[in-house]
Amino acid sequence: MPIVSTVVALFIPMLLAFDEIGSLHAVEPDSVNSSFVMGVEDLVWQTGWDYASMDRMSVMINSNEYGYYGPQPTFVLDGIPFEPGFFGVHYAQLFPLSLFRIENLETFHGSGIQNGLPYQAGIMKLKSEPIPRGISLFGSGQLGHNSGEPGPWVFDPNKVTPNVERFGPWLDAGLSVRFGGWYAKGNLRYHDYLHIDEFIQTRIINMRGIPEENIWLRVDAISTLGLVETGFLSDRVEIRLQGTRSESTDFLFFQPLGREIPTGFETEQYSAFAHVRTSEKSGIRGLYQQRNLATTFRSNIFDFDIGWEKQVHTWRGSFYIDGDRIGIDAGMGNESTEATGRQTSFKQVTIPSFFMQNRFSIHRSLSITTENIVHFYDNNRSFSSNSTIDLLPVTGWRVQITGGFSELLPEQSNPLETWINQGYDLFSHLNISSDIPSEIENNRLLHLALNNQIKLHDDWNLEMGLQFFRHLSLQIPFQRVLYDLPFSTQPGTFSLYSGQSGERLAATFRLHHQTTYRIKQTADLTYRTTMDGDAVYQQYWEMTPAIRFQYTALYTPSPDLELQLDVQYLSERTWPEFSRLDGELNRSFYVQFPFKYFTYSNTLPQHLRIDIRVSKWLWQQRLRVALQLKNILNYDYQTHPIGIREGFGYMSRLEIRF
Amino acid sequence: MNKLIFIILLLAFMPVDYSYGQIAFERTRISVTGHRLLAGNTIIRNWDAANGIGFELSAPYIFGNFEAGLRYTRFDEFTFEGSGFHSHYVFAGWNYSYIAADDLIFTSGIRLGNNFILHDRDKIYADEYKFSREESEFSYELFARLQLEINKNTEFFMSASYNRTIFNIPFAAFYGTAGVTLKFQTPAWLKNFLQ
Repeated sequence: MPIVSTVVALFIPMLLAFDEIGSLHAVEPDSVNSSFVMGVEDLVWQTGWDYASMDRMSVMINSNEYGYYGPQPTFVLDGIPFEPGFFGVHYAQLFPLSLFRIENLETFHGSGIQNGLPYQAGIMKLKSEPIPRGISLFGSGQLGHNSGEPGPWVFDPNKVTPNVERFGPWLDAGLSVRFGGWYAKGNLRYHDYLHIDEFIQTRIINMRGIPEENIWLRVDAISTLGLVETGFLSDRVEIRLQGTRSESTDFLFFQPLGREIPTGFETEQYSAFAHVRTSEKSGIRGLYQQRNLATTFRSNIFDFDIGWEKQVHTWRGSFYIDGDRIGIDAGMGNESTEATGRQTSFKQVTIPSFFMQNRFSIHRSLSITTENIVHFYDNNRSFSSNSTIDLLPVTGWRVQITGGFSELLPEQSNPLETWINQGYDLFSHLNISSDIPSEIENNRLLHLALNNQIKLHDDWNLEMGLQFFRHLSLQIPFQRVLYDLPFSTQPGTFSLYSGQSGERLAATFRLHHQTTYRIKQTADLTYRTTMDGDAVYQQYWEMTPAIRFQYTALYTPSPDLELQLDVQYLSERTWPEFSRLDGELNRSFYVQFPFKYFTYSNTLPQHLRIDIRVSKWLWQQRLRVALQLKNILNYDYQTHPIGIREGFGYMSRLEIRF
Repeated sequence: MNKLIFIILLLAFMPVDYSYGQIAFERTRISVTGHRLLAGNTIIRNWDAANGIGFELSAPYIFGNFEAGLRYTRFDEFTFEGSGFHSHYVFAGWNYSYIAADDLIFTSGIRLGNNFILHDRDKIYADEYKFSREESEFSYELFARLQLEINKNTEFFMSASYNRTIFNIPFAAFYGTAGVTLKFQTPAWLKNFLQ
């Protein structure tokens, strides 16, 4: 361990002396096989990130740098950022486009700058399908469920079981118009999801019940989202004006409470984005955005109401030069946030930022890229600086060496805790006792990466990476929940462990093989370990798998038919926050059923998941049918200790386009 | 489910007579079928299956044949009053055909689909917990079929199939089926739709 620290300590000043230090993010651009994107987890699958889900519809993401409870990735659609969730939980139904209309997905890890947009914990860039000329329409319906319906045994009181999880109907529709460079489009999404898993029904139904009146309220999640957008696209100018609005009734996993809260969501976002190319190799970009996120009350036995209302105003401007030898992308922005609702005193957080990305192509086989981002708030500031040396020693071999320092303000890394400190009266309403330092430190991270891309053969590519992270100061939220039969958990004391430090190492291998257009296969193996660190730091990273293996094979025997095999292996994970539930019993709820008992475990065993997917175009590519058989080995696994148990299930979708 | 994987792998690596059905959707086969439940697991102790009817559509596609269909079966209750139900198995599948003799063709394949069942009435527990009459569950089927060519456009066939609906207590059944198939050149509009 000291050796690694020494190497890092020597390496970074060396880079500093040369120019600016920097770090590189692993870059994983890829086109998306949209026919097989059935949910948010299918998107995360392609990113190299981990996810944990309570219900398959929402995910918490570990983007490798900060864990599940740290800063979350930035999401961008066609150059416009969006926020599809609350308090670090992202919902598929809040993505402003139909997932099967995604043409391209690019993931960048770590911190950096992408097309005039600085990001701190990875970025997921989505590009929607091009708008056809003239008038076009699309519609789709999607549904599925897990196996295990009671069937005719519903009439046998000794064998009846609850109806199982049901996905759908999910209905998406859209209309677009394009004449010349001008376009307009509108999308409407409706999602319904019946939340009935034996494992969590006790908690959900009990939370939604009013026992004294013998009323048991609905346990499904329903969401509607609309998007309207117009703009002008040409070789020189890209202008987009976009508005989105959504309303949902759902369940929000709120980590300080240690379980879900029945909650409604309301989101609005209005964006104006412009990109003007001043020459073939230069241009300017600008964005103005207003985003309103609010939770609304959804009846529950505790009368819990998060009462969260957040208004964010953002503007950002940048210019770029993309020359053969020199590239620059520099600009500034300002983000102003107000959190009203339970705010006891008015407070506005305004964070200006400055950023610059420089690329120097010293030789056609050697380039250096540096990225610097600085944020200010009050008397505090954060500074992130990354550098990448990109080397092509011989044809077919590419080496990238990355080093950097990332820093985040507490308002960026731990916004909830800073709002609580600033008078947002939420924890007392939710009966959560808390221990949050009055002064929260900046998150500070050193990282170093070596990445090799080798073309083994015309059809084979190998990528090997080694990443080292040294967290100088990581703020870790921690809720060691208490066991409770009706509601699974009761909150213990919520703590924010500030200034945690430690070191992590990750090794990645990726083998990609493609023969013509018919067969494409990719195998990914990731190994990550905590090398050193404080006790809480070490516990925190036990929640993420040490080993993740993924294999995907796509076979396209003809242009209208696609077959895909997905395999995923995850090693064991342990969630220390739920250690008090370990070995405790859970019980099915309905009194007319024979009770079923389950034993909680805060350790999620290793699992193997295999999915098979089939997609067929019909009617000259106007109709598409897609079927996913999920977890065909019927492995009983979870991604969260009190989350849904996965089993065999299917998802089917029918699309129509004109 | 392990059986299903085994069968998929088996079919995938089986030697195939490509001489049958190489041109995508060139010819269409429409079959009318009658079937009988021959054996089953625990479910047949409580419900009695009547003879059923079905409809199948099939066309050659890349290798083997693509098919889709519907099979209806009525189940009367032995016990649990009002629990009789109508079963509608809607499926799509793939099959391979082997020319066994001049007029005799052997076909085997797999079908994936949904078993939609409709009970005679809702089941209500304690006057308040109501289950819907309608229910559905994923169902797969493996089958083998012998086809006798009567003339260029007509076939008679008999088949045996194993069907499994993945209810919480899985419903497994063997069916015997007989039917008549009409074969014809696929109309342009249908070919256009299928491609």
